[in-house]
Amino acid sequence: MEIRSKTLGIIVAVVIFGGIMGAAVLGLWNTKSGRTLAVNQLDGSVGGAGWGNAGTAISLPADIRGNHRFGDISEMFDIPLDVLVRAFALPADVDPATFRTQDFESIYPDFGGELEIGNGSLKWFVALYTGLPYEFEDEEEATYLLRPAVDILMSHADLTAEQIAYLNAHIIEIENIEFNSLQNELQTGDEEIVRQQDEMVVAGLTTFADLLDWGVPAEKIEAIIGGEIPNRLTLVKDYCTEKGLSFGHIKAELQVEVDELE
Amino acid sequence: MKLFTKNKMWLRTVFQIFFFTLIALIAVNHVLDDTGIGIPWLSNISLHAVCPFGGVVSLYQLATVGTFTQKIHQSSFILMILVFVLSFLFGSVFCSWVCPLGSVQEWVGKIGKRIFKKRYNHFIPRGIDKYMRYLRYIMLLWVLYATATTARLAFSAIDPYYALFNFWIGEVAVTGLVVLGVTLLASLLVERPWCKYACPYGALLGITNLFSVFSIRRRETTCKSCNLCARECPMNIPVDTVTVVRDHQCIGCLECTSEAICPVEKTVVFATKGGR
Repeated sequence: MEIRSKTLGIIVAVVIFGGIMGAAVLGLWNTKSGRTLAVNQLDGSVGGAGWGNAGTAISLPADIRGNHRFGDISEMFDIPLDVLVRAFALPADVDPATFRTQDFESIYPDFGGELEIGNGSLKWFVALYTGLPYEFEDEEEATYLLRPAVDILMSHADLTAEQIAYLNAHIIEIENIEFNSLQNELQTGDEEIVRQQDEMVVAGLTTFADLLDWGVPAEKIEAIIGGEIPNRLTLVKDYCTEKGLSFGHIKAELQVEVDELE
Repeated sequence: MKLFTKNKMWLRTVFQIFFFTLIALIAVNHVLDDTGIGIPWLSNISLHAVCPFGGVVSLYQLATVGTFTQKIHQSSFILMILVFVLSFLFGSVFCSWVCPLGSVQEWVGKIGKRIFKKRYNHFIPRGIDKYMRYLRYIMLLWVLYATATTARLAFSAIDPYYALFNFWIGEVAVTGLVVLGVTLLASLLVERPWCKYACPYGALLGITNLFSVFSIRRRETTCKSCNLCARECPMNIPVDTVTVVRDHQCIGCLECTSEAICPVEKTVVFATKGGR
């Protein structure tokens, strides 16, 4: 049998896209973080089979990204939200469900030297709290936790002597430290947000507070989103994600209202 | 319009543009989505999720530990199977019809062809080139070994495919950018240099050329020995000297066939054993 380019092209397309659709129908097309990594803590050696079978949607601490919210982390790893709030000493004016791990810098002061709380700290905390495997991304860079996080782990987690020693050597004490207020941060800090406020463009970083400050009536916002306005500092995008709404459509409708103000 | 009237293999060009655009949009949207301005109707999955080679490098860990390598998704494994199905049937057609990195090299090569004319794709002496073609198997073995022993994507640091679609986000290793740059520059002199000498996935898929159901076949009785098929072959395969192309370097582009360059009808065809 001989085939020509048109037939070959059709077969290539059918195999690839038909195969993807077939896999999707069978529930096998998984493009999210469903993989697992069998790496032991601290020493980084490979081993410990059994951390989930291939294809099962088990999240690992290494999967945590800067745009994950504490609400996501709580859900992904079955850690009560209030535990995360206490461990990372979130200020009262921060909505923990929508707080993104990339915003740690906005609430913590400069601890000095190499002392820092970042995404790595959260991964490390989650790994120890849940017992899930985790390997430090940079072996030479120390990973610190706040005192409350260490206290929680000491009382809750099943830690090895090596892990306890590491934790005790990498604690940031928070007594007498004044935390930044996220509200202040919004008013004085982030240039991107200020820029968007000036330009009055509804985008991924737009909060309900922005919309209200621009002069969009609360009733109109609530009519568009089909519900009550949540915490004013909630990102519109996060609200849409949480409620299963299309951010693209909501954004467009809100932008119409904003444009009318201008 | 010139592209579609002059090139008899226009459908392959359409496929190359389509897959390149698709992957580029997915890569861009993955980043945009993080900033809240993603394109709603387009997938925001990571580039690793749509790379079939990810499934290959994850095979050892899957077999021994039962898990995927870090950053690899189940979709990579599905794509790996689909590409293997295509390869068992048609050889490494994935390289010439789908792979965006291969397409980019080909497009850059068109500039090289204009500059160097007949010298293009013939700079490396055959005696050296013959052995260099096996370098990609060394690369394949190294990638598989390094991934199996470290449980990390060892290849990503030098992967020009990843660098091509992510160079603008600042997360690509310098080595990856250097390899991409060298590959593109070399494409001005040699057709598909990465595919020929370094691509580990091409090396693996190339093995299927040895037994695939369909392959390039030349009918000696009608062949005029004009040598056009061999001269047109991007991989420098001497099609005019064999009756069946079982070369591990063949990418199934069909440029040598009677549908494209061969002037005699049904003389060089893509067919099964009894199909010519």
